[in-house]
Amino acid sequence: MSIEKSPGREGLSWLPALVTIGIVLMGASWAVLGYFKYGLWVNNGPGAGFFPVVAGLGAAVLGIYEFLFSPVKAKAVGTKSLWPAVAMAITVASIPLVGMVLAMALFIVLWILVIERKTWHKAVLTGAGAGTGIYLVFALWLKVPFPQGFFLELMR
Amino acid sequence: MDILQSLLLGFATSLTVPNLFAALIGASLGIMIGAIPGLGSVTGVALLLPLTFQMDPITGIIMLGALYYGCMYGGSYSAIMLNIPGDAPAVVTALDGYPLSKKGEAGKALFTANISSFIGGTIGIVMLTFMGAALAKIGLMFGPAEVAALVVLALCSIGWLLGDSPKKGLISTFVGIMLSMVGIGLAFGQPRFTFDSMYLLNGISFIPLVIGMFGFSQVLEMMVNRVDAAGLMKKIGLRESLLNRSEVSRIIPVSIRSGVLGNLVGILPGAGATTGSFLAYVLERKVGRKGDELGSGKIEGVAASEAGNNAAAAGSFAPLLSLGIPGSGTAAVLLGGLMMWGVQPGPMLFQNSPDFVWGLISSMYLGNVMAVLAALAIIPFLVKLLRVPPAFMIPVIAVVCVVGAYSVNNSMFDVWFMLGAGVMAYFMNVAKYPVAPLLLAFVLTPRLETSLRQALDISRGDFSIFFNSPIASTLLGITALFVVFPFVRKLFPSLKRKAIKK
Repeated sequence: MSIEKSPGREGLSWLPALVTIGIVLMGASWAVLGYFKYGLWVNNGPGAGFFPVVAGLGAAVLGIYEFLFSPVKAKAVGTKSLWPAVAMAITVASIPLVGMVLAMALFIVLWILVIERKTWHKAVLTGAGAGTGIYLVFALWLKVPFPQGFFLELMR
Repeated sequence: MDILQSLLLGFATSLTVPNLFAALIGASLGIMIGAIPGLGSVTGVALLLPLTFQMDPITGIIMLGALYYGCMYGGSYSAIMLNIPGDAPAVVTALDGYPLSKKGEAGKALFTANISSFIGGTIGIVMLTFMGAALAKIGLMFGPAEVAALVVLALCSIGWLLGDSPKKGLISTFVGIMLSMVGIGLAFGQPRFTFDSMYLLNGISFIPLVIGMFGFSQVLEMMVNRVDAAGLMKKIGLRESLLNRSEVSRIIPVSIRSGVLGNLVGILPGAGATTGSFLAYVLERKVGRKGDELGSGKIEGVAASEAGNNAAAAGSFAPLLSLGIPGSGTAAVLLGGLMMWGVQPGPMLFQNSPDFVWGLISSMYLGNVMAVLAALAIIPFLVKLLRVPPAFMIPVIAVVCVVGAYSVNNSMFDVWFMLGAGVMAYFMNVAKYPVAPLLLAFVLTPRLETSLRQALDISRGDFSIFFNSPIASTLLGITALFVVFPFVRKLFPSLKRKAIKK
């Protein structure tokens, strides 16, 4: 598998191969579990393992072929693209502490300030607007029971 | 003539100022709810149902009908503008809708979605009005063997979505099938691949998966590829968003054939609007003049999917009213509502409560008209929203993804799952594995598994059940033709040349 370099994508060049390996491993485990644990053909019909075995074998065999012989060029992926995932994972982890609405508003403010380097009033305005919108539509109107957060619970 | 008179009676009942107002409110709320990722028509109808009990039943059902239609319109907006399908059928809309947005033609895509939704919805309601009982009977002719054959046809059609590398597309399809196997299977009642997690017992939730794979992976892509967002940023005036005469004449035939097909799929038990929009898209790919170009941002793709989706939604009312069998999740919630109003859907409904049932059918016409008017009115505003720079768009879309994923089941597990699915889909994009076949296989396979198991249970393992049924054998024959035809075309180059010339 050869790698195509493009600006902003340098870095995790081994990733496409890793994806294929992941799919092969997933396919193999689905096929093995499907065959031995759930059963391929039960009482004159497909057992709970029939589709897992068919799909698992298909994915594993094609995946191995793809890994070994694929002439397709894969794009390399830069670590920069993973920033939103990491930042959002930290934010989601903080939801039990600060609550959903505040965590989301803070995410927007900090992202615009720190990553995008915009002015603080633009950041606060966007964060506050989005937070208020989420609160009004989801929490107040649609009655979605968002986590309130440890601090708010403590204050109560 | 009787039907026309009854329909006019229905309109006489429903066309009052309070009812028109209720339809407008229902349609506007529906568009908003449909456009929010994670909330679909089931949530919308369920939320509004308790409020309508205080109203006159006719006004209540008009509001719910309009809300249902509004949701169908709204579902396409986030798919077209943000690549986040608001509901499952909109996955197909996103295939052409988002590429159109990237070209700076979001307005045209939105207009196409609305007009074809209107045409598809109207076809669905007209068919329901004149052939409701007959359609419901056709639906009943579809037993497990026929449904299994239909899903096999749909699954084999995924081949057209596989992209540049059919092998990778096929691998994605297999991954979709594997993911759909997680949880307690309906056919077996046995937990599979749950790895002892109670969160996985009910299986993987589809909406968080879609939000992650389409929406959150888009956020990651926007980080490195902001050039792609340039088309989205293009200043679009209302006049450029309007469809010209040739574009309208391109989408009308597509909408009509997709509407008829979608309606027929909608009446089948459990087939649903997703299968309707997907099969309509597949049909367009096969018979449409620009079929081969679908997926690269063509209004025909948006029209096929949206007309199929809305017609299927109307179709699901045929078995509900005539037989009391809900054809979709939303119809099931509505069935609950009808029962609470003291109306018993079934064969006697048309005799026992003609006022109510014709009021309901006329309210669907009303809801469809109100929804298209409300939808067309907000397009200029939506197009302006697209011009928000990526610096602000990235965090806001990320937040919408999280809130949308949480709202489906009020579960933090779904949020984490959505994030994981987003990263996985981004990695798959990088390795050039297409995501659309994965999602469609995920939706279709459980239906195939259940129907196949039921069919073989009925026949005690005898496969002749598929060939003795004329419907199943025809569907399987069409599937075989679809599978064999590309190989025949390769073997006989003259056929291929003719196809290219065409």
